[in-house]
Amino acid sequence: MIVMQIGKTIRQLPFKLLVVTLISIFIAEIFVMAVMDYLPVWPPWAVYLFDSALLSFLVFPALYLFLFSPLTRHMGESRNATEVLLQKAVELERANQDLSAVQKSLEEKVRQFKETDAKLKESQKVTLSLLDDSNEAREQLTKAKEELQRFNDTLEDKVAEKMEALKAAQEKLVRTARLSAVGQLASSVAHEIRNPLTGLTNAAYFLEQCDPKEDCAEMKKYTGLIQRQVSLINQIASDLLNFAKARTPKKEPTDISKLIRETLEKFPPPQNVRLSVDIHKGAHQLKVDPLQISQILGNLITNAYQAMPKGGALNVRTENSGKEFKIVCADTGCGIPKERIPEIFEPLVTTKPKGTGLGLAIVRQLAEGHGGKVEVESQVGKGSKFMLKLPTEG
Amino acid sequence: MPQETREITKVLIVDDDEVVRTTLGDIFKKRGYYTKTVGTAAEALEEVKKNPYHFAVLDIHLPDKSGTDLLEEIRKVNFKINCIMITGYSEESPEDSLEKGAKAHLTKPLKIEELIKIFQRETSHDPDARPHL
Repeated sequence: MIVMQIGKTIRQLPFKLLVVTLISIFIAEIFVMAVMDYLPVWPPWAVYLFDSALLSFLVFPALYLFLFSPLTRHMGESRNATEVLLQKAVELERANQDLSAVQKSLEEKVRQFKETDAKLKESQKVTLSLLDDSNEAREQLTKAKEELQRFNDTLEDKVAEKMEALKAAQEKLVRTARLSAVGQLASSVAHEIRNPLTGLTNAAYFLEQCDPKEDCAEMKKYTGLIQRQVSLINQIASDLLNFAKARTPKKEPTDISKLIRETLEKFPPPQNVRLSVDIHKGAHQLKVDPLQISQILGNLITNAYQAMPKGGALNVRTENSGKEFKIVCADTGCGIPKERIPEIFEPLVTTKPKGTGLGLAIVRQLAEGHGGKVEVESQVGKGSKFMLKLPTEG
Repeated sequence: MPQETREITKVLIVDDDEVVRTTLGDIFKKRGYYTKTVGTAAEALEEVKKNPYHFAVLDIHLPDKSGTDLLEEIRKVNFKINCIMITGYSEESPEDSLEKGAKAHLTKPLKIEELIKIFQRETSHDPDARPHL
């Protein structure tokens, strides 16, 4: 604006100068004309000089008035305007800087946006790939479902067929197992019975050779031996029957201490075995089947004696914990290998070279029939401890 | 004419069943044999090392060793012993023990006459092994 005003002033300058000059010349000429008559005759150079001085006297103030003053004013305004312009320029620079920062920020945003866009595109690719996979999986699933449906359609027939085959296989297995068990039992029973039978036939042969008059003592010894062998065979038969036909215990209040002592009397220890008994003094009543408990103890005691062919010690004791009555048979025999302990209560399993393998199976069967159990602790070379645990509230 | 001297026939009986070994021992004693009865393979090996037995009657089932293994060990100590295997029931076939040098494999209950025939047959081959009657 100021620049425009200065420009306008400068453009009007020749016209104003012309006007001021003409007016000044006009006034100077009038004044010269008016005073010429009163002045002495001057030489022309003096007139020109006076005329020029007068003209200058009129022109310069007029020039100042009309030309320099507005120019100065305009210059001041121009200066102010320049300052304003500079200020504006500073502001503009700041604004420019801000704008640069904003631009940088925008560029950063743009870069981030590009990165995000790239990632998005990548994700989009993955998503598309997943979609493809998903479609493929869906197709496979559909196929699998169809297969399953087809399989289901024939499943019942297949199941029936398999069940029939399984039943046949099971029956065959049961038959085989039964035959195997029967075979195993037959072999062990044959083995067990043939020893006393050998004793009997040997005794019969020996008696035939005897002279009744001379060998009376030997013949008497052999009749006793025959009776023992018959009892043994009878015991084997009883074991078999007892095991095959589980009897329900006929429980009655029984003096258990007395029952143990009576059983021990029936099974006297061999000469090389020392028997010690630690039984609670006084009568201890338990509701049990005395015959069955006696049979359990008899089997445990016989096993203990057989485990000590070279002698040893057997301790029979009782322990009463209130809820449980325990009868313990601890021997110092050969012991049972650790790996065989889990199977010794199974029927037809024996760790002895001779035996039907029914003794401990019957022990467990009868103990469980009383609501009790039988447990064993054993160490090879040191001995075995069998514990019959019976509930006190039978 | 010089009198013929014959050594008494010695029989070792190995069976863990006391009745079987006692009755067999009594029978052979009555028939004039020297008999020794033991219940384990270890005792049997000790006896074989101590005495030159002519016969050994071995049960297949022994507490410490199988009779067939004992047969092999006895024959390593004394090759001339006539071993007769006896068993109540065994899954081992008679051929096994016969291959290992047993003279016979008999099943319990024993027929004593059959056993005595084997003794007589073997002693006829060995003039030193005769019952002392």
